[in-house]
Order: sequence, then structure tokens, then C-alpha cells
Amino acid sequence: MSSSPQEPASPSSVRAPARGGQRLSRSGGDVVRIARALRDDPELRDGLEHWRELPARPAISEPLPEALDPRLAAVLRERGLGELYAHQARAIAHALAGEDVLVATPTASGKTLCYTVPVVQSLLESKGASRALFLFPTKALSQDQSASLTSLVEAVGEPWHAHTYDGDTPPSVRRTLRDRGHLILTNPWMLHTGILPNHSKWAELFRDLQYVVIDEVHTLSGVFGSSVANVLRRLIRIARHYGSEPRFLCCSATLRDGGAHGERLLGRRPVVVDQDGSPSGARLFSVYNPPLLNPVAGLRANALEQARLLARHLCGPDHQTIFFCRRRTAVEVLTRYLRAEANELGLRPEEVRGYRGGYLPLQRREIEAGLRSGEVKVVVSTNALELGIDIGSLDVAVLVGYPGSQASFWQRAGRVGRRGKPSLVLQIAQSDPVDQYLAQHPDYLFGAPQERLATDPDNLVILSEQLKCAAFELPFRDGDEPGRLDDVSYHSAPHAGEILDYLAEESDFLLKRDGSWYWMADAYPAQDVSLEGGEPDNVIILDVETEKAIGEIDRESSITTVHEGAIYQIEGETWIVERFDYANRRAYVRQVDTDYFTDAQTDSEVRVLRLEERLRRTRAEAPVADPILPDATPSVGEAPLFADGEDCSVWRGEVHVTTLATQYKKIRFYTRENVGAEDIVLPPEELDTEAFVLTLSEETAAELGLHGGDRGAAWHGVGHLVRRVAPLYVRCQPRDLGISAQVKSPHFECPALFLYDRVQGGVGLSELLFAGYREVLTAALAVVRGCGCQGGCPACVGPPEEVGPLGKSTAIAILEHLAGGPAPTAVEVGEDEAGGEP
Amino acid sequence: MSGEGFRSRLKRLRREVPRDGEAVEDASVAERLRAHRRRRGGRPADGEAADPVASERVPTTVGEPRDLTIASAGRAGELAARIEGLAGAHHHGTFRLDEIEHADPADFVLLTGDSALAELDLGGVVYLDTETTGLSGGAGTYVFQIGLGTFTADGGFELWQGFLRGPGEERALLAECAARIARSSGVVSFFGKSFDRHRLEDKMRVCGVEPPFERVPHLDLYHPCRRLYAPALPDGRLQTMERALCGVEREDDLPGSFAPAAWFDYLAERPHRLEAIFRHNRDDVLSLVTLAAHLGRSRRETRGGGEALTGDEAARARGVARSLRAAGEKRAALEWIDEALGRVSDHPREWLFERADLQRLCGARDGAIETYRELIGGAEDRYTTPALLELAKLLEHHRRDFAGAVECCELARTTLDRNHVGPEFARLSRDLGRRLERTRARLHRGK
Repeated sequence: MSSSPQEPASPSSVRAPARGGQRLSRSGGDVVRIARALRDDPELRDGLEHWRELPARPAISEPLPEALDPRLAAVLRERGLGELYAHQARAIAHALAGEDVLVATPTASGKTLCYTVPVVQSLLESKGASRALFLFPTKALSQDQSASLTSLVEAVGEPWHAHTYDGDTPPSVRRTLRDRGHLILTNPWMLHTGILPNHSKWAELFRDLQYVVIDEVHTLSGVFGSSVANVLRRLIRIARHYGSEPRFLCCSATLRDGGAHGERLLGRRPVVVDQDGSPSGARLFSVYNPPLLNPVAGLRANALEQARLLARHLCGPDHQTIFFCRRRTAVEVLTRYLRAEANELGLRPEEVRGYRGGYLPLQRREIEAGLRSGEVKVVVSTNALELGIDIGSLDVAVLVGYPGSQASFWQRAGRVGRRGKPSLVLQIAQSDPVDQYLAQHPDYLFGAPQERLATDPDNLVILSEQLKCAAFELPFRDGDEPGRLDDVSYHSAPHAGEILDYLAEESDFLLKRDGSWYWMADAYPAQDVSLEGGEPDNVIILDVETEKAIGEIDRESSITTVHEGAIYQIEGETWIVERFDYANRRAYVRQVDTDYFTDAQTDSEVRVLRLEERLRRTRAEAPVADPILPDATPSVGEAPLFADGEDCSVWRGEVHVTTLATQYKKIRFYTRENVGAEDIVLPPEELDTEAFVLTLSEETAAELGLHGGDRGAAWHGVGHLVRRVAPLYVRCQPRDLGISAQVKSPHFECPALFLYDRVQGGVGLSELLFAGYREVLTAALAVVRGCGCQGGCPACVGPPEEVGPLGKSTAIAILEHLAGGPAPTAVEVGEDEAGGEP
Repeated sequence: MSGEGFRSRLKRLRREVPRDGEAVEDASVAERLRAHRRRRGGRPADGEAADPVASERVPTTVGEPRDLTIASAGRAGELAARIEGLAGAHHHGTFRLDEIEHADPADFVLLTGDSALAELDLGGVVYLDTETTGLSGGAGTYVFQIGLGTFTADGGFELWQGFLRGPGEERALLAECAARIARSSGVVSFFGKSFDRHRLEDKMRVCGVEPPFERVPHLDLYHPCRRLYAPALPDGRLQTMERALCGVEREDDLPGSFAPAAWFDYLAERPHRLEAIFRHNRDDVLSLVTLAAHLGRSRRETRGGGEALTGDEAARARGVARSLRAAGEKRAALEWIDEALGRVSDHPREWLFERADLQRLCGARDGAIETYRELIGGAEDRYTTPALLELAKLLEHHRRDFAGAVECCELARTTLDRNHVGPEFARLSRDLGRRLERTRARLHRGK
């Protein structure tokens, strides 16, 4: 992959040096014409900050493996697949050798073949005895794949069938499918609540289960990924019970350290295949940064409006364009805009379509077919079209806002690019720190994958709930070592035995007898254990008039959204909370017409429970470059007084977070005028989780200009910025991280910044931050340095009203100091620092 | 790890430490269990809403259930069962068990449509009823008691109630159950085809025991009972049926919905009500015998000794008619529906419609015309329009009364809108359109 910046021609207004224009001009095509038109548009050209070209890349091919059954090889040849791309050949070879494989290559690189070939080969070899299970993250994907698998099997001339098993499968078909389905396509939820708890009905499948295929494994992170990892433990366990040892074939978008991710999911390390051998046409990339409307506030022109302006060049009758929006409402708004202007774009309004979850399946199929046939010229979509649904390859992709992860960016970008024809990807930056960072550092997108996926199958909350489901499925037996189970799936899970003991004694769900734990309850646990977490604690929102549930909200958010007096908004309707039955997790609401909404404020307290890891550096290693020395600070000669002391430390450990909702403000719609405030009286919300902590010594803090009072606000600014750029390196949403910036931490007795996982027990975010915090700090520094605002704005550290007049400069000083100098090194966590009892 | 023990950490993380504002006991677990119970479908509940008073009347015992016979099951360990011998003349309700010998397997074939039951040897079958730890199924549901009743060579009756003293005995119990079923000439149960059989098969597969059900005929009494008596009874529960049809009155019965708790209490060595569960299971199995004895006399309508069968006579006759119709025996069906209508003073309209239909099919067209007219003359409802259409057909083809046929069609046009919606409306409307056109044309030509 070339990373040299190139551009279509050589307009003087772009920053990148002019190279490669010649070749593109020769290859011609609409995309080059579009790029020229954009460059020449006086209204838009200043915003197009970067151009980059990835040249066309030829295929790296290999012949079909010798070992392939001649019937399968013949079918592949008939379909023009007489040669495989290098990554396909490698993946297939590893799979046929009985290894677990994870293929991490871009969209449209032919990943499907990497698993269909081994699966069909195993069917042929076993004369139809072997079985395979496929897990897809969405229903639509499994239906898509079911058709293509069936066609391949039929072409081979055998009566084996691929069946989709999901909530829509009629009961009459289920039985045939259980007894005779060779290839079962389903999703993690059905596996969790339908198949595993009823494994005896699936005995035929489990007896001969040869392969488990998992598609889009980059979506398996956080609580969901950690839960799915446990579902896979259960799957392995049940398969063993019936005598099979399935291999795993996984596919993913490009990943950083895919092997580690695979190992956390599967409990064993797969072979990673990530050298893409598929060809692609030349691709042009550009980042468009909307004009800065208000430099003081850092406010940029609205990205949707800008998309509409850009559409004048990007849409047309001779090519296909896809717009990706972050929200469903944005899809509807932009679709309406573009339809209204269709004539000016040279299109008929019906050639412009919206696409998102919530559309009826038939309608979606029709739009997909229209995209494949070329009848639909423009589609505006959410991430619904990001995953592998077949819509063919389009010409222009416009990303309205960074999709939040590099993997998503490339999945979306992968929607364009036909062989032998150049394509264009345009990213429109929004006003938040990550978008602005990328507008200035597009190299991030084009380099190796940067995001780490957080998955923790041993999160005690998730593990213990999943152990209940597993115990329902088969009794557990004690292992040889205390606390270990006699079960290969749980060998890596410390404490599994202790958890079962706990559940047996505390919950009445389990009975321990003669070294075995048996499920003993009239209950079906999988139904109550959500893969997304948190469900039993959710608050149900009930309409007082009809007593019907109108919504549901998670535990943490309930104290700020459904406290008494809150205005709860759903789909543009407003409801007032009349009563919040906290103990029974119910909020009673009445629909009202209001001209205000409510905004609750909270106070959080973070208490250190136990620190597990620490990195530290001394002031001698990293003296503050340009120290602010208050007049009163005595100094001895040239050297600062505390030369030998500590500069900073980073830590990882367990914390307890108490969040108290204090009061809420009533704010008028549109004018945002504050029309009153009231207290909230609710018990505090408690969270036990893991945190990444950054501490500065008092001395270093002082020299960086960080004191109590006003200047302390800069520390909050740093915290909020770090939280918002963290998703560049750790796959999560900013809201997955909680933050507390303490100028004088009672535990550390110095400034401390806590970033904690907002999931009870934590799912590994703090470990990833601990491993990658320097990159995050460097990105945060780049954002604040590169921001065009004067004294802080929402796109960097926050506005001056929040971070103080010197907030931005202090934040820069802090980040420069922390991101620069030698990296802190590991030290033991001392007994006195480790933290006390909760 | 510092001072805090693993267990208190787990408790804290699972938020199982009571906090201010929360009930002290684990409300969420109880609530979740209640939610399960609300959701569960499955067989008609034995006990409906668990009535706490009913359970309190039933005394508890401590320790092993009485009279368990322990047998060795080889490598699978031990096997416990309560075995009780009963005389063939034993009365359960108003029936004797040995009245089963008067049952006619042909009636079972008729009522179930299952021809495999024609050769059913009712003396050699097992009467099966199980008690489980839940109705939702899944691998974690235990079948902890299996009641199997069989007639013995000397004309007596043996009730074998296999019982799990602990989950470790599961394989041995299931293997014994499978062997007993495999040796029998068939299985008789109540709702067992939909429930007990599946619970047993599931657990047998988990334990590596070959399920025997494919090899023997299975008579499920639930659907025949419903077919004959549903309109006359409030619900389809076994206890409703046995009371109405066999005169069984249970005393201090502990509903089957208490079974899981009874077994869990026993396993946890708490005082338990397993004795009542054994009794309940025993009553269920004995009722299977007497219900089969009743149903096997459906067409004769008398018991072996000549006494009339109890149960709603009219509903039964109509049920027999429907079964005969389904079996293609139209003439016999017509006789039975006439009989049924003769047993009620107020003719149910659905029955009338069925009679007219049968009359038509049997060629009794004049009779059919009269019956359709009776229907049309009554209150207007969902039978009126189809009756008018059928009548129009008969008038046109049989009586060649085109004017009458047109009149029926025109009347049907007004009743159609008022009584039908959706696809049914569309179908009738199409029929009507065509018929009206045809009959008008014929009327016109006739003139």
C-alpha cells in the first residue's frame, strides 16, 4: 500500500506536493473529473485539505491448493476462481491443516471464500457427515450468505443445505434444520438463547461440528465481545460433550494485533492472515474540513449542509455515490435534501435512496438490488451498509463525520472501487477532536491499524452470569486444582470454581454435590442474561396512563434522565417523569408539551480500591522544559530543588466510583435559556470498575502551571480531551469511558486523572489505555496544538468558560511534557500505594 | 490481591450487597423467576396460579420419600423407585382400572387420525406421566420423577415411580425408563406428545441414552379429550377431564406447579412436599388408564358394563361427527351430527353449518337446503353469508331456481360487508361476484 501523498492534478491550494496526476489523467473516468471540479469550486476548494492517491494494485494470486477436491476445484474454476488471492490461499491452507484462522483484510477482498472453501471441502471429504456453524453479527448478513453458500454446495452437486436459523425461522423448519442442516447460519444471540440451552435438540450438529465460522470479529469487543467470548466457551464445551473439536475460521476488518484479539475470543491463538492479495483500482482520498465560522468558539459549518453542497459535484447520472451518516435522522434529512435537488444533479428523485435499520426487509432488498444493478445512483446510509451486505462496488463514498473507528472507516471506504476504475473517498470532518485530528493527520488513516480491541472474557460480572448459562447446559465438575474446573473452556478462567461455589450458596440456582455443580432452578438463565450487559438493572419507563412501557434506560443513566421532573425525550415527543420508583426500577411518565428540556448535573467521586500496575519517571529523567517558577520557589543554583523526585506516574487498578445526581436545569429549546433549576434527591449510583490513572507530582504540576483554583480547570480540559481522542487507539466510544480529574487526589495527594471503564467490573479498556496512553496523549496534544481556536473550544480542550483563560496553554504545556521525554518505566506498586479496603 | 476476599469482591461486583433504597432480599432474582413463569408456555398448567393456601394444607416431610426400592444400575450407579401393586379391580373415580379391556382401539384411531393405534394392545402399554423442574425445557430442566403404569400378566396393575435422589442418578433413571418403554407395546399420556416425550428425549440425548419413542405407538389423550368435550368444559386440564369423564375427585392435591420446589427442597435437605408430588403423579397415571377406558368407548357411549358414559352427550356426538368427517366417513358423520343436534334444544349455528355441509356432501340436497334456510333465518353472523352462497348454488344447480339463487346472492352482498373482513372477505367477495354474474345470466336466459 502506497502512503505517498498524491493528488489528481496540481492545484496550488492543496498542501500535498503534486505527483501522480499524469497517470490518473490517462486512466480518465468520472472520479478524476469530479476531483477537478471540486478543486475548482471556489466555495469548496479551501476546505479540501488533503488529497491522497492509493494507486491501482494488481492481484497477488496463487493456484488452487492441490488438496482441493476436484469437484470443488471445478466449480471454482467455472466461476472464474481458477486462482486465489494470496491471502485466500494462505487462509485456506491453514484451515485445511486444522488450524484456527483469523483473516483480517479489507472489505471486498474476498474473505468469504476463505471459509466457504474449507467448509465445503470438509463436507466433500466426509461425504456429508461434517457440519459447520456460522455466526454473523446481523440477520441480513446471514441471509445473504445462506444464498451464496447454498449455490456453491448445489454447484458441487450435493444435496446439502445451508439454513438460516434466527428468530424468523418457522418452527416447522427448525426441526429439519436441526436434524439435517449441514451448514447452520445464525447469530450470537440465537446461539446464546436458542441453540446452546437446547443442545440436545442439536445433537446431530454438535456431534460432527467441524468448523465454526465467525464473521466480522472486529465487532466483538466491549461487553458484547466479552459476552460472546463466553458464549464460545460454552459452544466448545457442548461440542466436546458430543465428541467434536471444532476449528474456528474468523473474518475481520483489518485489526491491530488480531492474534491477541482472537485469543481473547477463542481462548486460543489463531493464525492471523492479514496480507491482502486482492487487486483494487486506484483510489483517491480527500478530507474536507468545513469552514470555521467562529474561530473563538471553534464552530465549523454544519457537515450535513456541507455534504449537500459537495453533492453538486459528487452525485451524477453516470456513477454511484454512497453517503454514510452517523445517525438515522441525518440519513433522512440528507436524503430529503438530495431528492429535492435531484434534478439539478441530473438525477430523478427515485434514483436517490435512504437506507438504514428500521426499513422493512423487502425495501432494503430492493435498494440493495438497485445498487447492484446501477439503477440507484445515490444512497444515504447509516452503518447499516457498512458490514458485508452485497451491494456491488460503487464509485464515490462520502463519510459525513468520522465513523468512530478506523475499522469502520475502511469498511465504508471499501464500498467503492471497481477493478480498473478509480474511485473517490471523501471524509467530511465535524467539529469534534477526533475529526479535527484526522483532518490534520490523515496519515493515521492510511498507516497500519492503530485501534486495540478491548475484550475481557473474565470480567467477573459477565463470567459469572455466563457461568450460570453454562451450568444450565451441563453440570460442571471440580478440577484437580482448587478453583479450576475440569473443563478446557475454563482453564484460563481463574476463579470459575469459586464463582460456582458462590452462586450455589448465594443464589439457590446451583446445587453442589459430589464435586459437581448442577443447575437447580425452574428458570432459563440465557433469557435473562443479555450479551450487551446490564439488562436486569435497567429502568423501565412506563406511561402512567396506559401502564405500557415506552422505553428502557440503563442503570447509570437513569439518575440523570428519569429523575422526578426530568423531561424524557423519545422520537421528538416529550414526557415528564412524575415518579421514579428507584427500588423497583420503574419510572412513570406522562406525555406533555413543553418548551424546555432538562439537563442533570452530577458529582462523581472516584476511590482507589487496588492498584495493580505502575509506570513511573523521575524529574531527573524528564525535567520540565520551560518551568514556571513562582517567585517564592527557592532554587539552588541552576538545578530545580526537587530534581530527584517523581515527575509522573501512570497506574492501572480497581476503583469505586460514586456518582450523585445533584440538580437539574430546565433549558428552553432553541434559545437554550436557563429557566430554573431543582434538586435531585436520589441515592448515589455506584460503580466498581477498572481505571487508568495518570498522576503528576506536585512539583511538576507547579512547574507546568497547574495549581488549584482556576488553573485546575485545565486539568479537566486535558481529561476531557484525552477521553475524546482515546477511541483513536482503543476501540470504544467516548461515552464508554468515565472521567475524573482531581487537582489534589486524596489518595495520591497530587493531581490525578482517572479514566475508567463504565462497565461494572471493566472489560479491558483500562489495560489498553495503560498500554497505549502515550499515543493517546500525543494525539491529544496534536489536536489542541492544531486547533484554530484562541483559548480553547469544544473541538479541543473545551471553551474558556470551562477551562479558564489559560486553560488551553496550560493543557498544551501538560500534554507536551507528558507526551515528550523518555517513557516512564515499570515499577512495583508499593504496599502503601496499593489501596485499601472498599 | 490485598485484604478483600474473592467472594466479597464478587458479591460487590455483582451488586449483591444490599444498598440503601433496595429491598434486602435479592428482589431481582425473585422478579426474574416470576418473569420466567409468566413467559413459560408449554402444557396446560396443572395448578394455574400457584395457590399458596393449597400448598400449606399439604404437610411436609423430611429426608427420603418413603418406600423407595433401590436397584443397582451397574456402572450408572443406583436407581430408586417406588413400586406399588394395585388390583385390576381398583377403583379410580367411578372407573375400575381393568375396564380398559373394553376400550376399542378403533376409537383411538378415529379420534387421533393415527392409524398406528389400530393394533394398540392396551394391556401392554405404559401409562406415562413425568414431573419436571420446569416447563420451559432446555438442557437444565430435570425430569426428576417418571411414573409408568403397566398391567401385569395376572391382571393386576403395577405403578412404577422412578425418582431421582440426586442429579447424579439421572442416566440410570433415563436408561431404565427407555428400556421399559422399548419393552412396551406403546405409550399412553396426556399432552405427553408435546411435553413429557420431549423433556425425556432431550435428557436422554444429553446422557447418551437412545430415546425409544420412535419405535412404539403413542396415544396422547389430550387432543381426543379436547375434540370430544372442549365446548362443554372450562379448560383442557387433565383434572377437569378426569372429574367430568371418570368421576375422579382428588383430595389435597398439590398441583404439579409445586413439583420443582418440592424437589429442590428435598435436595437442599429442607422439609419438602414430595409425598404429595408422588401422590399427584400416581393420580395422574391412574387417570390415564380410566380416561383411555372412557375414550375407547366413545362411539358406543356406554361403559363395558352397560352404564352410560358421563360427559356432555351432545358435545361428544358432535365431536365424533367431526372425527368421522375428518376420516372421510361422511354418512356416519351426518348421522352423528343429527344425533348431536337432537340432543340439544337450541341448535348451535356452527353445528347446523356442519350438518348442512355433510348433507350436501352426502347428496341429501333437499335436507341441506332446509338446514341452510334454518341458518339464514336465525341471527345474522359469520355463517350467514357462506350459507347464502351455498344455498344459491343448490338452488341454481339442484332446484334450477335462478330467481331464488339471485335473491340469495343479493342478500349475501349486504351480509358480507357486515360480517367479514380480511382475506375471508376477499374470498367470499370473489365467489359472490362470480356467482351473481352467472346466476343473473342464467336467470336472464331462462326468461
